[in-house]
Amino acid sequence: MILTLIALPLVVAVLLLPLRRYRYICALLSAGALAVLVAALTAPAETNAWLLFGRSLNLPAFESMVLAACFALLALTLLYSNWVPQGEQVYATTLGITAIFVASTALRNIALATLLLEAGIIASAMLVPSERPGAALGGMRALVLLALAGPLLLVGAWAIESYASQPERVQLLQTAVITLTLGYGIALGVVPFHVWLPAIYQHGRVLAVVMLHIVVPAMLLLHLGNLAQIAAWPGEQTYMLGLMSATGVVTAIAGSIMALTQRTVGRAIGYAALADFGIVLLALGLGTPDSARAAFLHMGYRGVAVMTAAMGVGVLQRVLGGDGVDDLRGAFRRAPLAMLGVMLGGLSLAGMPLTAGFTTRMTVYGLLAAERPQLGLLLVASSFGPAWAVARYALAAWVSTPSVESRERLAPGALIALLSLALLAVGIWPDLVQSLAGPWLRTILGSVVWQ
Amino acid sequence: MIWNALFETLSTLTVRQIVIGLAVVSVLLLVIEERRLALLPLLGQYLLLGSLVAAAVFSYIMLVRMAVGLAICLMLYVSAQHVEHEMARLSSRGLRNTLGLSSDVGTLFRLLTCVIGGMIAYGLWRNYPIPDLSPELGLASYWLMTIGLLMTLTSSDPLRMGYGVLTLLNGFSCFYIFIERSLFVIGLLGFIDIVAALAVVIGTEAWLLSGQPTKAAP
Repeated sequence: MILTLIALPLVVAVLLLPLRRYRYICALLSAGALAVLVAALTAPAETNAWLLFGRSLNLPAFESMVLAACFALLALTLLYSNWVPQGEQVYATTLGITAIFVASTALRNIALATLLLEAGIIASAMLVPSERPGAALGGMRALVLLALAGPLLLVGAWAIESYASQPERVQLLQTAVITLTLGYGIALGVVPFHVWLPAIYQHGRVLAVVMLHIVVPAMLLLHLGNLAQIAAWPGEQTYMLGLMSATGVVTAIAGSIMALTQRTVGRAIGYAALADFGIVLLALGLGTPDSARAAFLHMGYRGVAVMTAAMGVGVLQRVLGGDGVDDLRGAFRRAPLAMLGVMLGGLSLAGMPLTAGFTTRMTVYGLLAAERPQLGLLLVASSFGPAWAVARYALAAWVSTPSVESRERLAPGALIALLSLALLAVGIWPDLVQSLAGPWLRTILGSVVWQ
Repeated sequence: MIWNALFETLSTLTVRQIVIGLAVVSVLLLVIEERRLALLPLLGQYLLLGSLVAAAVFSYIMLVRMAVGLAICLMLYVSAQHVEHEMARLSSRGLRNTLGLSSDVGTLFRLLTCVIGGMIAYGLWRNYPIPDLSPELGLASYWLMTIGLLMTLTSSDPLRMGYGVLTLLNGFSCFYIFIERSLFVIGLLGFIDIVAALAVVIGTEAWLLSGQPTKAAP
């Protein structure tokens, strides 16, 4: 089963190579392949470990669910690329990366899993460069930092494994703590290592945004969860949770403030997504089962919001020729559905009421307020930063007369509208997802171990 | 015959000789401005790293590592040729700056960068020695990683940044193959090198196609 999950995207990727000029076929085939993967990952299956050349492969239910959620978002983005071109090579590349991530998640050997994770992350940087000015250099900056993060993670994984077998060598533990903190910090793009992220949102493709800011962080958090189970040391829990909470708070506040000062929608959404990722880290850092479930549910909602807003920005750039404040004149008339996606996606990322992001943020705020009420208030206040940025762009798009004649296409607009409505529906009815998924999701979320 | 001689020569190199060779070729990589010519020191890095694998783990894996290095350099050569042709075309029309390249920093600046890189690498090596590794390998590893990082920081075009990334990864491989001795690990390190080189090629070609890379955000 696991080998099929790895082989299927690779086979389809090879088939797509000669067909890469036929965008419609490639988009549908690659989205279809990912849909099959999602179905296979969510189907009940045996959880026995497989052995391949002496290496154990296993996909527990929770990891399967995270992979399925990531691939579902990628499939929708590939479908969107049917109408808004993302480049010829992205289909095969995306499928190749998914195969690498499945293998990396399933491998129980931490060194090999980390090597594959590094390969997947570096390959993800291939999705950024395009013919758009600034995209190539933005992609290279991302590549440099991601290539730096990989070795740090590998050294950290080696040191923690070595420490597990030789606990008397404290130097190994120091090496592990320093390298893993830096490696995860850079690869996750948290403040102050976030420099490569905004350019991806401004210049990169939607597929690059989804891959680098939704899928890669999810894979990294799964990897961190597996790594944490290898070795325990005195004060491990306090250190890890404290570091996550602190990084989360700093990222949430700094991202919110920086979102306010941006002059393009793409960058503002990028900082809003960065701030929202801070909430995920904070929730994980709180260290209770409730906060861990809220964190993973929030990751899902955040993924949909980032994708919706990024798709909206992509359509705006295509229709208006840019996404700066000056380009937005009359955007509500020329691309109303794209603007709807930007607004609802942005507001959900800001955690505004009646959006999906608000529902899980409330749980996090409640748990934080019980421990540190002032910090909770500060976080609530900072969430108005991205909300104000979105409102400012909406106003610019609403009041002015259009400066271009072209209009958005119906199909991508409809996809964005559907996703926006989903964000709204979850915001109005927070139990919607759990009601639809039923006991399956409750069981999976109940199995989250993050303490 | 030439290959056999090369194989024999590289197989007989001691770890210390390899380390000195790596230091020399990385300085050359940083100093040489012509992008196609700069690929020779990069190829030298891969050859020396291959012989390091032979010294550390398995002798015939050296050939695989070298083949990977050769494939990477050939891929990069095509992009380097495109960049040099485009720059020559733009220079002849007085439009070199449209590629967003900063003015030539000169050999002296590059040599100074090497000196700074050497000082940083030495400082790191003295203060944070890599556990379970011989001192010369630790220093070579830090040296390559520092030079790679400095190259990415001081370059204004994706190709030279890419050379820096690959040097950084080579510096890491230099010691990782000694602490994780496995065929799988060596194979995956080669795979990562190829993926990184592909990313560099894609970035470079996109940069040339974009035509106006100067608009990149700070």
